[in-house]
Amino acid sequence: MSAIPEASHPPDERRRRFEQVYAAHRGKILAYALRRTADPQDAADILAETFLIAWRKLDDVPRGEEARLWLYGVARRVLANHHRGERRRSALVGDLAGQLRIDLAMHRPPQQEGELAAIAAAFGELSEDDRELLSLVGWEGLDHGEIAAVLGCSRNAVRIRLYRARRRFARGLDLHGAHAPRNHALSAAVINGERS
Amino acid sequence: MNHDIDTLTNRINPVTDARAAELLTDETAADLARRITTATAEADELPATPARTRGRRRLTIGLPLLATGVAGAVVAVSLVTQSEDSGGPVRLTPTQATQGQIKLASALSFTRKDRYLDVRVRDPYADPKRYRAEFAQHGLNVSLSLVPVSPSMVGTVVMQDTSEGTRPGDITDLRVKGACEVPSGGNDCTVGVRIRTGYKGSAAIVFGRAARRGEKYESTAQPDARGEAMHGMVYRKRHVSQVLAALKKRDITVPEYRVMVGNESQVRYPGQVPGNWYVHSAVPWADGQVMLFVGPKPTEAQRPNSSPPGVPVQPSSPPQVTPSATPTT
Repeated sequence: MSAIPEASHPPDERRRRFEQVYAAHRGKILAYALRRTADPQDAADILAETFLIAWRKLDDVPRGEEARLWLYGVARRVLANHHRGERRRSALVGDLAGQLRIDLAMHRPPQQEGELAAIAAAFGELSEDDRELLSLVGWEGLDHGEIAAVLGCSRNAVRIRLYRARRRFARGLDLHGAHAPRNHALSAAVINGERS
Repeated sequence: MNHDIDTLTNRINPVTDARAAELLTDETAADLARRITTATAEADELPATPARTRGRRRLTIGLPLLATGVAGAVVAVSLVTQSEDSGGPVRLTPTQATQGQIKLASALSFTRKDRYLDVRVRDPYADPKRYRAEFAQHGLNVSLSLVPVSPSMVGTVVMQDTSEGTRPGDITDLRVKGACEVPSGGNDCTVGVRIRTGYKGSAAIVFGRAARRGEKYESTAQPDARGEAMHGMVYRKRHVSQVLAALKKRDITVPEYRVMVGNESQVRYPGQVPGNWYVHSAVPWADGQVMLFVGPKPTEAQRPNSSPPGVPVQPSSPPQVTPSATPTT
């Protein structure tokens, strides 16, 4: 059995819809993955696998903006399994991201310095759940309702958890001597290796 | 406070959406889209079909059936064939499946009984399109595929999905007791499927088959389970050098490692892991290969939070990625 069978010919409409979803959200999903992996090549795999699932479950992908939240939810699970090193993925996923893995191999997020390092350190000490919540707000720019859709919980639960996560982060920042934002540029800081 | 906190989080954003979009060139993006929409024709007819047809979803991909005995569908080997050059134990199949060579006779054999049609897999390495075509010749809408799995999972049903309206007895595993021996024990083998005469629904079935050399497993059991590469080995809390030496005696290599850095699992390759580090865990990777989880301490202690990341909210669903994973399952 070959890992990569030849093309079948799905209906054009199905393909068109996939391409729409893909074009609209691929950058955001790659960003999501890059922010949460140390190795950019892993991000390539996560992007590939997320959209592979989207292709397979195209009928389940919601229309409109909701699609992005659905994709974040899928990417989040793919990522979680990726971190555990599980090999339950289809063998062909490994081949899918081929060119992207090569493209991303050279990508190195810049190192953070000074106060940003302290912020990153405090962030890295938070629990996985706290970081994910804060990231969905601070990085993906989602509101409570959107986060609820990604995580599959109630809006109220998001509100409460987020409140607690922010409080814990603030406490951690105090410990690390990092305070309110000053005049740093909005530079991309790396906290790879301290978060997932 | 919220505003400040969120601003701070934003300031340590490693990659903006715009930057990510730049990294993904149109050309590469198009290449990936093409691969996704074409490369998945096979395995993919499974999840693609059930979108409309939510029938019986019996097994989750990747459940180590033999280990857990889940779902009543525990089946043993049948589809075991010796791959051409694997050094694994030879298990003859009751179906005279070929030695990895494709005989262009037929990939399946069909035996019509009174109320059932028995379909046996003759060639576990055949192109799934051939299975499909042969099913179609018998008026059946069944897509069957066989994926490489670690030895103790060979011959198990990895996944089965049927269309709405399918009744429990419509499609069953065709098992033959005593037909073959399973690396992990037992001798009850799945040799194919039994389909009720007149069944008009559709089904997608995935069996685990022996991996060929170089093929990565798509589903794995515990590395020290009976029949697996590290059966009987003690490796947890041992030095990497010790474990590598023991593996070497078995001709088993380690192509990749995983290291926890902070909260994150990172990849390391041979030569990048000190021999005096410790092995925490292992996973079957491919024929003759395992992947090791390692670290500088004997155990992977002091993890800030013990719950694995991204565990689905619903406690009932196992945290595995399956090809059909969705955020709503």
